[in-house]
Amino acid sequence: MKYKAFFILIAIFFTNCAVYKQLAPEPELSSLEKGYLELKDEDEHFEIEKEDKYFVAFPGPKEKHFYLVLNIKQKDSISSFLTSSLIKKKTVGPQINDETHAPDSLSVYPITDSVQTYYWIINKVHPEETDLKLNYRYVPQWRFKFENKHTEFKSILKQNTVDRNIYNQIGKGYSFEKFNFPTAIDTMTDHLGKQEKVYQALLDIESIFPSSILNSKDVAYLDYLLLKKKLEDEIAFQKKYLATVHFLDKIQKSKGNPGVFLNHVEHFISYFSGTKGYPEHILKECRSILEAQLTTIPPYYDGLLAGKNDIEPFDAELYRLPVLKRIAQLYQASETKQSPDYDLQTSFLTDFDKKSLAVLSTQNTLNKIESSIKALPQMPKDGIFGKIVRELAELQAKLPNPLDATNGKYLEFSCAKALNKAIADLKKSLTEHYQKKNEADNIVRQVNALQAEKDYRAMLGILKDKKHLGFLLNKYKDLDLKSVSEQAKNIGEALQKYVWYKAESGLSQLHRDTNFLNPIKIKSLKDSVVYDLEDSLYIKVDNLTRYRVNQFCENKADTLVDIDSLYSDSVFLPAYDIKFSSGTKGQLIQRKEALVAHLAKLKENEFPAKAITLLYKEFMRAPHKKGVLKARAIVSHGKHYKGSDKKIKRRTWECDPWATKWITEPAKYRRVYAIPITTKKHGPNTYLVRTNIRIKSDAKFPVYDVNIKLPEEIAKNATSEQWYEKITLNKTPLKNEGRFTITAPNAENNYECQLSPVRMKKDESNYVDIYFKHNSFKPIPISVMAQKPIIKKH
Amino acid sequence: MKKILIIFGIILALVAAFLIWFFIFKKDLSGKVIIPYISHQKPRIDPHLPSSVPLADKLDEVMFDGLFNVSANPSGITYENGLGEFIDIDKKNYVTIQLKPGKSWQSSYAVSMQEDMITITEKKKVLFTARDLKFTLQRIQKIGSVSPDYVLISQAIPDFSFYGPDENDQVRFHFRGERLWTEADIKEVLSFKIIPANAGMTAREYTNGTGPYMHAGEFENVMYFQKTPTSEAHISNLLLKPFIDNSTYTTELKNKNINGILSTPFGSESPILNDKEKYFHKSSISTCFFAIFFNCNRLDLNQRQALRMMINNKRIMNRFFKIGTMQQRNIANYKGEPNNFEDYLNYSMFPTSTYYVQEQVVNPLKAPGDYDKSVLPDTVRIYTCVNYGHREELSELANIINDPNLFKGRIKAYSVSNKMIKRGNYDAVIVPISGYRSNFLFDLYDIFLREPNFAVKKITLQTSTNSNGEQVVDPRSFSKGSNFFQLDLSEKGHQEYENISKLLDYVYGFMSTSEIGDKQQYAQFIDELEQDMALGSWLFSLPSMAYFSTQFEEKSIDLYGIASQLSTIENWKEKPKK
Repeated sequence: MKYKAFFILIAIFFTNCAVYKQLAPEPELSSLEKGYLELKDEDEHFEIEKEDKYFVAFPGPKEKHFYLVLNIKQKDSISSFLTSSLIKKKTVGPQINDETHAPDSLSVYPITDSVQTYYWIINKVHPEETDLKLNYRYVPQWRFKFENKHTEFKSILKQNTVDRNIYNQIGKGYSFEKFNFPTAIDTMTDHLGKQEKVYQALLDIESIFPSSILNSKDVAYLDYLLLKKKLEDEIAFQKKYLATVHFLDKIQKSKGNPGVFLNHVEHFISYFSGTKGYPEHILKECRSILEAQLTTIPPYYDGLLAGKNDIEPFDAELYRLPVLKRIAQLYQASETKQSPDYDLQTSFLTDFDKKSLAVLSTQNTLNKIESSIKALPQMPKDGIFGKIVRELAELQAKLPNPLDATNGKYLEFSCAKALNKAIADLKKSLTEHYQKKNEADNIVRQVNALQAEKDYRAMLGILKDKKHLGFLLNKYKDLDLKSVSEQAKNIGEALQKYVWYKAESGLSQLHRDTNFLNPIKIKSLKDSVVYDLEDSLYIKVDNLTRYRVNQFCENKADTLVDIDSLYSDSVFLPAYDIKFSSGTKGQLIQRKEALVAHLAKLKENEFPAKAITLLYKEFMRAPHKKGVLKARAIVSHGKHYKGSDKKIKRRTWECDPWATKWITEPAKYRRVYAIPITTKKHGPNTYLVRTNIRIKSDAKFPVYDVNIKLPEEIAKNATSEQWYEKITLNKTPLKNEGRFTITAPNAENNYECQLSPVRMKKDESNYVDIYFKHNSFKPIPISVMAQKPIIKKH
Repeated sequence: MKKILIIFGIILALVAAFLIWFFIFKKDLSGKVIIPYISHQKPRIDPHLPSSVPLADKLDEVMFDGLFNVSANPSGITYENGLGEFIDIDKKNYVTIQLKPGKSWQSSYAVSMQEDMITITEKKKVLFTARDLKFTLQRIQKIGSVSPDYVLISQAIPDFSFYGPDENDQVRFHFRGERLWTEADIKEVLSFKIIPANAGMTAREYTNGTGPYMHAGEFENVMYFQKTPTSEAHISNLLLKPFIDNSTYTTELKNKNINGILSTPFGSESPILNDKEKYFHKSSISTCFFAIFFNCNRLDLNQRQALRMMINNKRIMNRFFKIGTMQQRNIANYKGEPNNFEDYLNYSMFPTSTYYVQEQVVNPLKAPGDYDKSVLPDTVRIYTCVNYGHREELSELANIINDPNLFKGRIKAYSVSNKMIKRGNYDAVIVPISGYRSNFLFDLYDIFLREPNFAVKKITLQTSTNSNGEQVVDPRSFSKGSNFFQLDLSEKGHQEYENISKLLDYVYGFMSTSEIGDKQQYAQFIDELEQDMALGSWLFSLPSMAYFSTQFEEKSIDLYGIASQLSTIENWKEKPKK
């Protein structure tokens, strides 16, 4: 255990041990600018071994922008670098870039005064062991750099210096006719570029001058100043010369070609703007050349303008108007007097464009007004045209005057003439618009007053005379329809309120009405409306009549007595006698006849059918409540019924004691109601059930038993008295006598009576009538069934 | 004084005479229904077979019960519970009947008669059981179409059987499925009379029933029927009094020896019974007609046709009823129509009153037409026998036929003994057909297959089973002497063999079918065939007129339809004495 702790402590010790061994020179290192100093361990060189890593702590400089220059013999035997940080001789900071221009022997590290100590780290020693032979130097950076470049800079200056003779001869008789502008420009540009690079390098060195160097007598510093002054002079000369050569080159190329000249106007302006300090002889020569060229510009433009015929503003791009305007600036920059032609021309262009824009704007506004009028809703409100009138007045006021004499010769130009004509036309048009819109404003107010009263016909009366106000009439396209609609509505309302004469007169008026803006167009619609309304009139009359009949029916459906009088009620006459017909007289008669026929149908079909249906339903629901009266009412209705609904007829027959109830299937009981055929409120009534037994049979002599199921109240006394008054087959009485038997109903046989055998006529009607008396006055349900008899003994 | 004594003596004599009349001679018929019968034709009762004595068939209703009994009330016929009670019929046509096993046979009572005094005492009860029902059905099935009950039952219960009885004494019949069976139909089918199981299949007569009256015995040839102790009949006794013939019936009623006549001589009203205070009469549909049957053995077809044309039934009937004379025999039909004589004339074996004629299923040959007298024998001899009922009518008919004004001697009628009739030694025979039904069940056996014998009604039907297992009529049914017409199929070489054979087939087909359509068709065939064969002259029907003493309440006596006149005897009531 003890050993274990020991080893741990040893491991910790070694872990905290330094990695780099410090080489502490003797004498100590100095950061002063003294040239190269040798690094020594007293008098010896430091011995460094392959196995170890080393560092040397160099003090920081006293000022900014210093280099630590290390001259190392056998530099390739070690690997090293400089860092500004070494913590506990073990952890190194970032490496500082080596700016050496001689990497085989030198290391040049930029250092500054903000760091107290720099650490030169020997990271690796390649041989087993070697002596460290090192000279170090603290030197300002500008000096180190300038010292290294001074010779080179001087050489560049010398090589790129330009001869000044030609420059000095400009304006003094030198002719550039044979001057090789491109070569001159290229050469000069190259020289200038190289010099400017050197100049920039000098400025870079200057930027790191220590303050102490200014006005000093430091040789390097004085060399610097001299070289810089020479360089500045040469550069300034070459720039002027090169700019002038450029100007002359472009002027040369513009000769006889104003369009090319215009391409270089900005260059020319720039040139002249930068000629401060130029020799006068050069400026004078250049102005002269320029002035000559400028005289070609107005004629050039006149030619262009003469070809324009429209009133559109000049196309700036097409006519290069910005360049033309910049010529004024060129006059100014070149300190040359502006040409009157140029002034007249630019003035015209300005006037034209301004008026043109105004005309176009006015036209545009007018168009917008027209468009806005088109976009106006139908039936415009009051004041809408008033606002437009005001806008038109404003337009009139804003309309430009025509081009005048101030535009000189340009008045004769096509575009100028066109513009002046356009202005005149527009003026006239505005006046006309103004008047019409003003009139429209008044008319709108009038018709709107009528519209409020929905007097569309009167509106149409006013508008019909204003055909010249097409734009206004367009706003009343719907008026014809509205007039028709309003009339139709009035007719419809009259129909709705059943004011027949009003509806009919309205219909007649609409039929004859021609008071429309577009009578041809509206005719088909109007005819259609008339037809529909006419139809509605008929239908309404029909419906009202039907409604009255229905109401009548509803009210009278439960009428149980005096049914026949219902059918003579005036409710079955048409609600109104229509005299109008959009068609022929024959058609009128035809329609009225159709209505009458329809009424007849109501009377003879629907009313009795409805009454029968209602009464039958009520009859079936509660036959014991006034059942006989209901049945009789149904029968009475049935007599008036001329329809073909078998169901209705069957119901009538079911309730009519005199009507036969068909029995067509054997061995099926058919329920029928016995209805009294007498009317005694007290005492016995005679009941009748009439059946028609018509059963399909293959038998040659069909014969049946007829079974009659009776309610107890009818048959309960059958044992003591005959329950029926008479039973007949085809009006021949059937009696319980002879070969014919009638079985008496009793409780044991559930009050079923049997007639047997009843010979039926084959494929003919066989009426079995059952008459009986009973002290009641109500429908009595019984069931009747027929089937082939059995052979009986008795 | 002497005068006083004389007067007193006279009064005393009158009082004595009154007392003698009152106590000795005054006839008291109360509590009795007394009806006459021909003394030598005692009714022998067989509830399943027609009898030659009409009264015998009527007594069926008196002595026997069916499961249901037919009765009547003012509204028509009714079916009353007899030995059964209808429970229900299910959807598969199973009819449930509650038997009444508590009902005892009349043999449960001992009857002793001291002269006409009847004493009934109970002995060991013999109760009705399903066995009796089964036996009865077997008997009817065995009798076959000769019994009207056979057709009645076979149309509903083809196997003549039933299920049960169960513990509640309920039996179930499976009725045919092709119709909607109403309660009336069911009860009609089950209205056949039930005899006890020990009665024997072929008894001479059946006297042990469960009906309202039981046969008590006879005293001085009077047949006594006594109300059974359990009967609900209002009148205790039914007496059948013997008389030589029917000629005195009305007089006997007037003399209060009887109080009811079920049929008057000639079926006519009786002048001596006009007093409505004392008598009332009720007419019903005819059940008897007279016909002259031609002997096919003696008369050939031509002769028969000539004879038929010669015999004018209307002229005979006019004479019969003395129509248009001071002595006219007035009649009234069941509808109450008076003297409608012509309605009774018959032109077919189907009388005019029958369904078949009424509904024109058959078209009788009415027009006499011309005939060749020369084909006839010099004298056509027609026999009849007056000793077995209808003496008056048959005698009158014989007299009429013998009237030279009528047939100028070409036809001679003879009243002969029954033996002569049996021998068949006649050209034709006048036969009363009694007990005929005008409904579907008209009996053709009674005409064509009855042995020529007035004393009994023996039907000579013989059947056999053919190769298909079907029961068919045997040609031996028509053999020598087996029927009034002397139709004989024993000799196949007979020139009319084919028609006779056809006739037999038709008759059997008519009688044995339970299909109405078949019956209609057979009726047509037979009628047409008979028109060709000219088997007889059908004369006329006899009105059915019954007289009753007003001792009875008229309303309580209901003689309805074609049913037995005694069907409602239980309901007959006497008028309360004033």
